[in-house]
Amino acid sequence: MRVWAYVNEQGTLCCALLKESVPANVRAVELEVETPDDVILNNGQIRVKTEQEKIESMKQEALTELKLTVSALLAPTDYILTKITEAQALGEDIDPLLSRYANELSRRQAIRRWNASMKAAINAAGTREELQLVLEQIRSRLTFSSE
Amino acid sequence: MITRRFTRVDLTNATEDYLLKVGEEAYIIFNNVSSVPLKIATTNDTFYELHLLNSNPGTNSSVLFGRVRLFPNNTAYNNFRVSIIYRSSGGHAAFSGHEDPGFSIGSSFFVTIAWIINRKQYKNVRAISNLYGWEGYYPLYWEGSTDWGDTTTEWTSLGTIVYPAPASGEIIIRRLM
Repeated sequence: MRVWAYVNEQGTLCCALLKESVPANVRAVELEVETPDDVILNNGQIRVKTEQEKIESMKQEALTELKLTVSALLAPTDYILTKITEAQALGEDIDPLLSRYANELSRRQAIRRWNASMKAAINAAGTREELQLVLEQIRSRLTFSSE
Repeated sequence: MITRRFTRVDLTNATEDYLLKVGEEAYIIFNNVSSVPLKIATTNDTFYELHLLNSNPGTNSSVLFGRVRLFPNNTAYNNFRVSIIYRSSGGHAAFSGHEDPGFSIGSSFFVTIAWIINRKQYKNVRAISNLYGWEGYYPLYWEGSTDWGDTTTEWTSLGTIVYPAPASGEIIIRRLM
């Protein structure tokens, strides 16, 4: 999309989506971008984000999605933690609970390990395509788990 | 006689901004576009209700990763503060940010209801959406509130809605005050 970027009187970076939306008293820079988020003000200079900066922004969004996914995977067994915590608070023996819920607790640990590996993969991604592959892994995990 | 109907204006192919009267609603259809200029003029001390219904099927396509925003005055400014809550059937997440470029109203494909306040000292959009573009999360409840902290710049045109990928749908905007 084409945008017209300028800095207004308050020093705010503005990015008009229509040429007629540019105020008459400013000089705007015409840019071709994927989204208005790609335009930044850097040391007083209006410019388009570098590929690396776009990847960093996408990583932040991907981490939010990972958090949502992990939360969805853990939620069905959260009650087990509540039971164990309550038993501990009351000074009861928690071994029977640990034994009874061994499979679920083991699955939770596996989810935590998977979370750590996905987080590392997001941080290590060097291109948007690599990041996309990680996102697809994250999304497929949730789809499979709900089937 | 009491009238119980909103007067509707079709702004689908509008070329100039139209000033809605109180109790009047605009109707806009858009088809396979990434940005939708609302072509609605606005003034200080106005309040609107917006309904947006996408007609796209849900998909896991990578191009849908991104927020949908309303850019007031058809312009992105980098001084918005936003808080977002996501809630799926089994989990939740939150996001907040400052220096955001516009009012967030949803993500991917969605249906939403939003309330738009244009007051010199308080410009805000609150939106409640259901996202259906992220396969595996259905239904994904999304709630966002964005403040435009600028008390100097006048909000004169309701703005343009921008998607991360081409989208289709219908919009109804009612002026309540």
